[in-house]
Amino acid sequence: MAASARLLFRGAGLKAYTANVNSGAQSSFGTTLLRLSPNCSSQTKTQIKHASHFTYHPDPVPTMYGPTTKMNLFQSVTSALDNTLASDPTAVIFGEDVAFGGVFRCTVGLRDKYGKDRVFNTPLCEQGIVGFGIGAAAAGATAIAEIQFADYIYPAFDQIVNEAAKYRYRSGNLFDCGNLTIRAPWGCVGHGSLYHSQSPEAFFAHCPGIKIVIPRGPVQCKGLLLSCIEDHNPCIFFEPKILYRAAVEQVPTEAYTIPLSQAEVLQEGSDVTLVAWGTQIHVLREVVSMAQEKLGVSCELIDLQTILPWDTETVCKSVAKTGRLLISHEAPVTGGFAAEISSTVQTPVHTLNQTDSNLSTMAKTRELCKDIRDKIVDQHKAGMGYRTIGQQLGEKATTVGAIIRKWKKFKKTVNLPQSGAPCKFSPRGASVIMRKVRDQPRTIHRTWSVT
Amino acid sequence: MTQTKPNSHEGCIVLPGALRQQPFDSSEEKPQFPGASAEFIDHLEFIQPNVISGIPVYRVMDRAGQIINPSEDPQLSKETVVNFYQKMTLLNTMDRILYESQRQGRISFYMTNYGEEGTHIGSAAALDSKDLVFGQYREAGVLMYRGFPLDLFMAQCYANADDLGKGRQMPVHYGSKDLNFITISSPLATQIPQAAGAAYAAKRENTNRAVICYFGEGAASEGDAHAGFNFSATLECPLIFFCRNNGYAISTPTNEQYRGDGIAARGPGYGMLSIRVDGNDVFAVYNATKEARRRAVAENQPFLIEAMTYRIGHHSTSDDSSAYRSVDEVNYWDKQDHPISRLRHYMTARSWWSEDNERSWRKQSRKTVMEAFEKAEKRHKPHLDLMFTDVYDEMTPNLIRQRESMWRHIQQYKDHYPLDAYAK
Repeated sequence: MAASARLLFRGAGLKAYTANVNSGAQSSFGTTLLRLSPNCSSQTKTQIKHASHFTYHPDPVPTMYGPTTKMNLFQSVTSALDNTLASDPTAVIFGEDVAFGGVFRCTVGLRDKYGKDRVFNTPLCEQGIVGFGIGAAAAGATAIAEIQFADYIYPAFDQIVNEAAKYRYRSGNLFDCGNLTIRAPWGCVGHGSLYHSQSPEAFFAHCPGIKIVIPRGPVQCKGLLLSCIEDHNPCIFFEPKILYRAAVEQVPTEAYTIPLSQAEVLQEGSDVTLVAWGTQIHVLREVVSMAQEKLGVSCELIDLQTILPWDTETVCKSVAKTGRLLISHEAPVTGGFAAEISSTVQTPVHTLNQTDSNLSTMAKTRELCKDIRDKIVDQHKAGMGYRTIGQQLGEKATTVGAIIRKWKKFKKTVNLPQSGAPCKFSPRGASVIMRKVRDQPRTIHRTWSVT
Repeated sequence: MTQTKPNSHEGCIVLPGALRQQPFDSSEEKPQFPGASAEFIDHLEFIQPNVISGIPVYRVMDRAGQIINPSEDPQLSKETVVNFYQKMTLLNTMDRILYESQRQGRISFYMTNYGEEGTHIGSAAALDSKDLVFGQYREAGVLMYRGFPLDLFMAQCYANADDLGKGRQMPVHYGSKDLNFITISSPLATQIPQAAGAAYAAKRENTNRAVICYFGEGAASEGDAHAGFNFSATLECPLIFFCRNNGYAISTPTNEQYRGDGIAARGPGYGMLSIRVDGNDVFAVYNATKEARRRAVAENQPFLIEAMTYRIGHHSTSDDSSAYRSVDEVNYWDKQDHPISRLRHYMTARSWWSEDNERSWRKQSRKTVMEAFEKAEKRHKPHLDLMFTDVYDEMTPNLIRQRESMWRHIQQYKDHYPLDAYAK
């Protein structure tokens, strides 16, 4: 699956630039998948047949969760499940082939340690696995269901979307299946082709009531998986399969949780915000250093971690600072999750009730954009006072008053052409503006209104 | 399962294919395949599915309410049987009144249970009150038997502020945590694998709790049904599958739904004990469910009960069944083979129920239903905030924003959003 990148610039008439980047192709901003020698030492030169390589960047050793030991991603999953089965007597793990240890070895040793009534195989039926899990969870057990590959989760789509996600809402909170966690291997592995490589998070992101979480490495994986298991909502936990063996970190042996719905800023920067999850984080880490080295561009890298409900605040705050956003994910670009992020980020900020970051258009000096003017009038109609409106939108009360008086008199909020200085740009005027944008693109409304 | 002595094959016990553990020995002229335990056969012969004389229908009473085999009479007390009758007729009365109320535009939708009251009451009575019930949508009698108040039935149909479900679902999607009845959902058969999971959890809890799962013969065609049957059998769950085979799935008759011998014949295919009963015979349903429940919990295995019955009413208020079946057919079942009249004959024969009882009970049940009905009509609708709660256990920031945005919108256009009918 090609990585799809969405590139957004703030300003320049509120038009969004979107650039699709396919694997191997180069763009001027360069999100490429490089052919570097792989970090996995098991690969010899003659075996290099994968098109997509990346360098795994391990997290630093965590110090606040107790003693650690070296684990790869699948071992961190086993460790999380081990902690859960030890502390929660109702916990059960089930799915295809989990009894002998699982096709990715995530459940090795657990059946022997905890018993065959707690770690067991189910028949080959994903809709049954998830349905069974929902029922067990609703009846009070901690149900951890494994779908063998995310590519095969679709038979369970009805159970997930129509049942698990809506259990609590439709019953008026009489019943819920918050005790359910679904785990599935996810994402490109190089040789997986159509049906062992998919990243289906976008299908489920459209479904309120479930949570979707994707870790970038073993430390995150164990903490986030334990959070999902503890969380009182049905969670889908996608595990990047290419990282199962390749990602090795020092992981705490005791149980610990990493909060859901909190994106992590892995690296601060000033020129562009990069957002990704799972494997692409490591690709973007390389992009960050390449951009710095070759283009002198300072990137801020964010790991979204929780796809649903996602941390809009961290991402929007970052984009308000940098003015640009690039999102990279493995799934197809149309309707991919980058579309949700980019559309939310571009929503005029006064509808998000945030007054400290302003993503409005770059307008003429002191002229507010039409959206803000309409908003002022709406809030006035709703009965708010000038000062309150001004405070909410970050404008002076006198400006608000002027706009409202104009509306009352002329029934319009648009500014008609004035006599005097022409408002059409001459080619010379246009190039003046463009030069200003090129030199200092992070112009926001406030800088124009400073005298 | 027994272990075999190493290097010895005498005294091996032949187990059903899935449980074999004996070592392989090709000197024996028996199939050694792990997938099945069987003998060889040397001539080509297809097994004929038997749909002409299929699995027999177990009944206790004949159509006139007479006990056929006295040793099968459960010999329930007069109070119990009268209670059965009253619950069935109360359900019938509630159905009539709510069906009419939909016709008058008071509620949006309704589904009646005409003709199937016997399946509800007979099975509900055979269960423990703490047994978990997963239903489809035509099991209101189970809830009524367990004591769900008329007010709450009405509240759910009217989606008013008293509804336990907070007014979120269409009518007849009942649920009750106190009565261990999982809230109904519209997608068919989704409850079947869920019931298997719940039964597995109940087994692990070891509290003598069974699970029953109701569904129609149409829903049994769904993939989820196959999943549920297979999972419950392989994972050894204390579960009763109760199929109401009422002849129609909306307009689709059974000969377009399946070609085999109904649903009961599928059970053995999954390794499940199965029975077919006369669903219009309350005692047959009672006996079968009682025994199935006892054994399901004692032996940790699922049971399949196919209750043959007939859907006398339309599928729902959105359906007119005269479009696909004759009035004569419906009349036959209504007049000649109805669970309520059969039980009434049984009671009359024992002088447990008279004409006077009938008259006064009908009057009383109509009165209580109408009272609950009128009360429910007057109640407020649920508070608007309840549109946003329970999506997750706690409201997320965007839901909070959306709720605030809704209130701003309503405040701004309050002429278009009259709120008098809603709880404050």
